[in-house]
Amino acid sequence: MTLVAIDLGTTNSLIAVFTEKGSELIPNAMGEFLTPSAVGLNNANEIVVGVEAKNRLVTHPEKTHARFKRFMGTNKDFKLGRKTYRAEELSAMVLRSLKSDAERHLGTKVQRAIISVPAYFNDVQRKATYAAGEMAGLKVERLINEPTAAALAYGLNSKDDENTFIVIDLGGGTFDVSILEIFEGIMEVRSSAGDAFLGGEDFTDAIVKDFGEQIGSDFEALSPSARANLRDLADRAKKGLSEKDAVKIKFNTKSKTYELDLSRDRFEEISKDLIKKLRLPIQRAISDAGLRAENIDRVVMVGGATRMDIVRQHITRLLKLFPEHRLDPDHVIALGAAVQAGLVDRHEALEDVVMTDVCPFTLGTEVAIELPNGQHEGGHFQPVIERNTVIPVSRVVTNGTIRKGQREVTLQIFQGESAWVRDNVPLGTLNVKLSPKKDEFEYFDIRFTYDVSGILEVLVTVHSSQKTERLILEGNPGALSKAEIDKRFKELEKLKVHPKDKAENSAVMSRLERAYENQLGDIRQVIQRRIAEFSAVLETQKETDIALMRDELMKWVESIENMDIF
Amino acid sequence: MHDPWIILGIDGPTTDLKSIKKAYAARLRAIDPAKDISGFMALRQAYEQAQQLVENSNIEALPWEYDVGTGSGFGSLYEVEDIRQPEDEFESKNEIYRALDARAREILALTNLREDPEAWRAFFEDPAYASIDVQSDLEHVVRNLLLETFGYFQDSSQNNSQDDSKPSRRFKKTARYVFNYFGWDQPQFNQSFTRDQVEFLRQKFKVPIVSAGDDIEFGPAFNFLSAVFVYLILISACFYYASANQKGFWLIIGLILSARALTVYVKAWIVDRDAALSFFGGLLFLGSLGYLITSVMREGSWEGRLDVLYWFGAGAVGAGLIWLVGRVILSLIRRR
Repeated sequence: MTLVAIDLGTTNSLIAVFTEKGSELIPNAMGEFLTPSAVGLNNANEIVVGVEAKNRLVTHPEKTHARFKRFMGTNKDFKLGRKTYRAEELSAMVLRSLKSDAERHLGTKVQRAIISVPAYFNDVQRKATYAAGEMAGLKVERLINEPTAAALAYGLNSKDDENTFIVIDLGGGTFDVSILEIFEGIMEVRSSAGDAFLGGEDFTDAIVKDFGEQIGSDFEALSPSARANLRDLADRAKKGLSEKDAVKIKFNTKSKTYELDLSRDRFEEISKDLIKKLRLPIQRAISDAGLRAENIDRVVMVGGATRMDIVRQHITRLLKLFPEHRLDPDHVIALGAAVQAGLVDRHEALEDVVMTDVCPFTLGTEVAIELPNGQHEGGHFQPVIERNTVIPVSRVVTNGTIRKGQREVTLQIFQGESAWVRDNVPLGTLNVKLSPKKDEFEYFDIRFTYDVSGILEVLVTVHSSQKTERLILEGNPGALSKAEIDKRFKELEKLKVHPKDKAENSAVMSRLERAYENQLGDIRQVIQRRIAEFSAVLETQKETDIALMRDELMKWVESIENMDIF
Repeated sequence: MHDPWIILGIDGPTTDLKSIKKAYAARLRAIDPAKDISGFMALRQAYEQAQQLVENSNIEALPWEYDVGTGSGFGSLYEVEDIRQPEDEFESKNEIYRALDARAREILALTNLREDPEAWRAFFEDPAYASIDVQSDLEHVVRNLLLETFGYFQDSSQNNSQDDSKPSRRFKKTARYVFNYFGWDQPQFNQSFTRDQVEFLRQKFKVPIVSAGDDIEFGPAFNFLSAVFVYLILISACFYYASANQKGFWLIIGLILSARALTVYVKAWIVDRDAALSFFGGLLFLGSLGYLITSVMREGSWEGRLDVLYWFGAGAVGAGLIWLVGRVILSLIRRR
């Protein structure tokens, strides 16, 4: 049974396996390692995933979704046609697509997976990721923190060294910083911090905003599809800046053509506030680890957004150390997760690497504190497991009832760093029935166990009766029950998914359609004619003809797309 | 407490960090942390204890005090880290620390500087202080100085001196920038002493906690608003028809719709109390408006409807009052 490793990203997802030769990425039907985390409905009302869906984000924004990872574990609904889905279900569709890519590539059934999550994900979000895996028909063996995976991808080769690393992961939508120490073949996570709402997409948004100013008052009136197109151009302009000092963009709408430009200096100016946000999580991770920046030996950059020069320069300024990027920053997490898959399977080549991780946030309960006047003040947070404690960990606190003869106690579980529970994230509630003697206080042990996958279990044992209660998350809006997951799994099974072998064809077709939308005048008619030709060839169902034309069109449409950026 | 040396399998106490790490690594390899949680925790505790013992012996070996410039005695991590530095390097570091401290005191001493966010910004974002280590020092300096100024280090039994150390209104406003810069307005602190200190400063400056990336969702509020409109129109139509034609059936329909509207309201209350509260005011307001319209429809003229206009006005005032009182009660409950 093959164990695959999946990097379920905000913008792109990857799948990899561990073989005798080490980590190996698996290409999708399009022959690419990166599958965009986008899901949509095509014109035949079939579900499409990946590049196809991403292209349709421009042409059919109302029938396509991307960037849903931010909403894992929330009740936000995403509409696709007549049905609505949760972020878990959309993620499950991406996972399902990756799974079938792997099955085709490996020639075996794939049923077990390791999925990477941001270190910052809380319990609800982690459970949501598990649920997404299950809905895709995968048994999720373990979740791995993304920075840990990144360090594994880099760290394995230097297991004889003693090193302290900082892993800086600026992905599409999240920013994570972790400090790791390697010694004697042990990889230890010392601390992790981050910003769940900072990523490469925010830089793209800044460019879109700048373009909006250049466009002027017409910007507000742009249709959703024109906006999505502008965003796509902004993203390509951002990438263009790594080679050139300035780029010019041609942006076509139905009525007008705009010439927009972006220089390196301008980009630096508009992203100043975003760049400033990089400091705090780095500083916090270092101080949590009880270190100073000068104790750090290596800086590892992960995530596509670390390709930006301004990001690298700023990191160098902060740490006085040049970051390394031997591996492709987009591939690092998947490669590292595959190393972890090898570890879980106790693959021979990895026998001597052990790793420990930390719990990235403080977990505790609400307590009342007795004031000097004898009254009780509720709402205080009592930490049970402190942030950046090495996991697995199991800790016990003993609390008592406020009143004598109290018959019930309601225990609320929170995650966060504030002294007041109202500022922390509620995880769940546990009602414990007590049967005390009259006029006696009752005491009970609260045991928190946080396992290697970042799943929290709470056990409460009442002293007098020695009865134990286990926490089942209830009243938690973000968490799905087992029955619900099964139900959704069955519903997803029934969904009509666009067949894989046709994916390549429709990818080319949707790119042509997008080009048609973006262009004006004569070139449009040419594109339209080519679309008609391609449809005709597809009708014939002659595989060789189709493949020939597809390859030719792919190159052609690429040249058209590049006409917009110069 | 078990003897860490026995658990690690080391013969007697040692101050050699390398051999401790080696021993820990060897023992760790023998167990599977995912399955043997208690075994792992015992080993981990022994390892951390041993490291702590080594650290303590290092401090004892260097029996001189590190002057942090504030005399606070806080920030033990900071001290331990600096002790590890060779002496000349340590001197230059201490110099930077002193320079930061001097400049912070300068800003804090002058009203027009400390109440100006730009003065703090120019200080914090000085390119010479860009590196993380200097930024950490900077945070330490500013925190200690503010704590010192507002009496954190004073003995809590001497309550009399607390009253004269309140920040001015403008300083409070400026402090939002300072808090935001160091992330003190986010609920994210590890060591309990920093948590207490930051909480103390937050209370002094009345800076609210912001949780990163709070997405505002208008869903429930908007749904509720539209529901109120639809229900009001339906309910008033039913009651109007029932009273005009003496039809019991429409009265029952009206009552059912009212009950349904109430459950919608209760749901909105659970989801978003603030929104529901203001909409409760809105409900009253719209209710009187609905009454006005239906009664005019029934009578067919505006004549003699002045009493309705009176109700309309009273409804609007009542709505405003309920909203206000509700907000006050809610904020009191939240403050506890």
